[in-house]
Amino acid sequence: MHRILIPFLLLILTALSAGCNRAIDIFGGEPPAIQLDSDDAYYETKVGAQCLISPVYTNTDPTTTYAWTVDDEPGVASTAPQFSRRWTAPGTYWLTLTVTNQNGSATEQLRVDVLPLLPPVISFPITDNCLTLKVGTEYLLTPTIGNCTPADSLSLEWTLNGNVVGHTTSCLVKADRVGHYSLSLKATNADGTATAIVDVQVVETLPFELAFPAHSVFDSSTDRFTLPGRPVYLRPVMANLQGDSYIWTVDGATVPCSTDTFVFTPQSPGRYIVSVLVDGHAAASVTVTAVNATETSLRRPAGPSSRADWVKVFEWCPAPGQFIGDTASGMDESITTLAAANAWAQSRLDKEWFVSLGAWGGYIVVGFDHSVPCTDGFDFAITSNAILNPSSPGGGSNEPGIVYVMQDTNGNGLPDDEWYELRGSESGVAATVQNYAATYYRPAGASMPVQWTDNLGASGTVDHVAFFHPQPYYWPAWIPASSYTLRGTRLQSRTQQDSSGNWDNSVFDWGYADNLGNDVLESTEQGAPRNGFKIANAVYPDLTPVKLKYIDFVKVQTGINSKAGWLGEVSTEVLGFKDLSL
Amino acid sequence: MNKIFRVITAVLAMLATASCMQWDYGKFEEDFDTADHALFVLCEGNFQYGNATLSHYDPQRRSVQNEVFMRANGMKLGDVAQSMTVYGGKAWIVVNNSHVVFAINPDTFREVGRIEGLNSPRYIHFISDTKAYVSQLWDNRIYIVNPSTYSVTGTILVPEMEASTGSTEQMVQIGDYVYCSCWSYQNRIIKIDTRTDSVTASLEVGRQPRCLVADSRGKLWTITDGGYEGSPAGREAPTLKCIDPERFAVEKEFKFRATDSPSGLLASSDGNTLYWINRHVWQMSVNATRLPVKPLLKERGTMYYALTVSPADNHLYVADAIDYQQQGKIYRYDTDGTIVDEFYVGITPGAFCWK
Repeated sequence: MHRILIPFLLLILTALSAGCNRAIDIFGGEPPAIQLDSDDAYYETKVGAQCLISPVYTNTDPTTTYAWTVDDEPGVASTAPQFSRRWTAPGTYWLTLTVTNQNGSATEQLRVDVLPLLPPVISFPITDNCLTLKVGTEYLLTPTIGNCTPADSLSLEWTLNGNVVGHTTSCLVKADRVGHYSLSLKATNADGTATAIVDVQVVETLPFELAFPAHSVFDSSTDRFTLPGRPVYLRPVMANLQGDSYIWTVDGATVPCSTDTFVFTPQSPGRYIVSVLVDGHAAASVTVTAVNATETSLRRPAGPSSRADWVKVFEWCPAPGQFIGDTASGMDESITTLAAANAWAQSRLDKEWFVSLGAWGGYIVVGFDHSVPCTDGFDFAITSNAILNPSSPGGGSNEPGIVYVMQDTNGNGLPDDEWYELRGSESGVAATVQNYAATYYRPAGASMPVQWTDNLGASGTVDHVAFFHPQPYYWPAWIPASSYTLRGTRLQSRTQQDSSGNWDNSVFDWGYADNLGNDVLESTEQGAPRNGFKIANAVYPDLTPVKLKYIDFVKVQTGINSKAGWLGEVSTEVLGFKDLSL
Repeated sequence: MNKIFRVITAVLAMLATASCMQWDYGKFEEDFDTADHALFVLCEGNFQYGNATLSHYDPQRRSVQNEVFMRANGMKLGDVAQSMTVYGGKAWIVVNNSHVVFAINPDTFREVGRIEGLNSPRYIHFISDTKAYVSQLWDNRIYIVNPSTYSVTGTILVPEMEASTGSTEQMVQIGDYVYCSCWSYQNRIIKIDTRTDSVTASLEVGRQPRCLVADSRGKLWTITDGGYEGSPAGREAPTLKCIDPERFAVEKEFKFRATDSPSGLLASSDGNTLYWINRHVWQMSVNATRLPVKPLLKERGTMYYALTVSPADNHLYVADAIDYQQQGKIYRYDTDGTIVDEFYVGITPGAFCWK
């Protein structure tokens, strides 16, 4: 008995001294071991694709069992050595593999990222995919294509009336003959194919467009209101007209004006129909009402309950931009109406939180609960988030917004009267463009840049800077149209990149919101600057001054059409408005 | 335009535009019943809004008091509260965009002193009762301060670092040396001799090492966040790196996915486990040979922003910034991963500090 026991104990001790695994050796085997076919245990696949995970096992025998479980799925998903599945929904899935033999078991955790299928998405910078061209002209059509990375996996095919005409990223449309054409682009990547069709009409003469501008994107009325003796500047928006001749009439009587702008000064209260005939055949009319009141009689003096630093938001109509739809700024998909957008902007301004106006032309219209008087100094202030760059004198993040003011001339409490731009340091400068217009086109798919064209023949994009603002759309969800046009004054961009690669938007001297000009009155405790504005700087469109005793409404509009690389589009941000007279 | 990432530039700007900070003293100063073992939650607030706050949590009673700095002192904490450290019977709060470090009594929360004249302070590390280092953003200097007199006594110039893109961040001391991560636009850890207050060595570890902790074996761990797309400094896949401070060399490297954004590296009280945030909350042994694939806590519509582990019971506290606009939330988990408490604090809870 002892002779048997002693060697056995010695054997055990020897085995134990060599480690636990060796101890198992004496019983004839080891637990299984798993070597995954992915170094980091991550697997990536696409929806619908076959996902096969094939580990290499050691120390297995016919009795070895395999158990694959998937988090949040009941039971065992597979008992095979390999795991195979076609996932039907994108997402991240965690798997646990347990391999067991008679000597023990081994476990590995794995992660499978199932990516959605992302076929190409095609967007054209034209409204409703309709293109009308004059015979004998050419048009370079350049779409943006979403889901086109890697670029070498993308193939393009342009067809015109069914015939293949190209495979490049742009298509030069030559309008040789009058007719109706179907131009199609088929884009294919590894995940699928998309096709977009452009309806091309080639005509002898382009249809003209002539109309007086509406009050705003959300107010289609073109009616104008003024006081007797105060001029209104009437200038139609037109396209495809030569503008060789202008004949203006007031209530049917021709007036001595032959230019595109008629300065109409009604001398007495009443309703006037002003019409223009352009090039002898294009006509448009607008109603001008001279109210039966005086400027003083319409004034709403501040009372005991008036608030200096509270404004009502009447219209928040941003251009597309990285903060539009940004959930980190508290927005969500429920903001799909102007009322909801206004309420959101109101809630932000009430807390002095920033409201972004997006790219060039985006604007916000607010009103005080009383008339803000014109004084000898600064009359009201706008708080913004402009930032100085101390390493670049005059540099920083200046995103100037052009400021307009309005009197409630018709007394209806709504900002539907005459806007007057406040003169700034760039007013009248050659590089400043008045009557500028940019049209933004809703992208066809998520995470795509927003294309724009302007009335100077330029085009570009508001880029999707997903790293910091990953929301899928930068388009204001409360603008249902496939495109919208913003109009106003554009300042020359001062966006530049220094030798270190840093972006800078240099300061403008004075007269703009969100700009560290010499009109910064003060900063909030935390340094948010307040620019001061003088009602006395209000001007007519020809930059002659208009004398206003007070104002009721203020509009701020992004004044720069530019972008700064990874920082995205230049966009004015406002945090608050304040009547400085109270 | 994205001004959030111009924020750091603004710090210097504020010196020019708001150098004379006006502290908003109120009329009321409350008294508090505080716990011996308590957790401070420092809430950044929003940049340029001056709404940073301090919360106090009693783990025993499971009770939270918010805005205790304001309530105790009758003045706002300031703009972008960055970090907090307890030393010498005082709690030191670094308020980045107010360019100040407050010293408060950790029991009454009343201010007992402040260090001003700082540029863009991020973290404070104490060498002794009379010397501490304050790291800076957009500066190529670490400030040397005297905590006993609340004064700046000097600076440590970081070699080969431009001020305009400079950054020193988290600090860990081993022996006579302080190791400091150089984060924004930077790519290295520097080694500072506390006897001479000078940088003696520098180790490149990858783009933007932000976090720096020490484990139970005296090894340093850092996460490089990889920078961001479009950055002049470039973007690369983030990494988790283990550094041997003796040799001052990278000992182990773990690569994250290119699209990952890890942050908030933390070592457990015993120094054997690492935690970090990468959308989810992750946990890994310091002896692991590869990154975990399964998170400790899965994201669930949350915006995890900061972590801490209680030295008393190893409970894990996770801050959820939610949307950076509303009051953030703290989740407390026991060692089994069971949630044992949750409570609201201020806006953007970004740092914890144990009393």
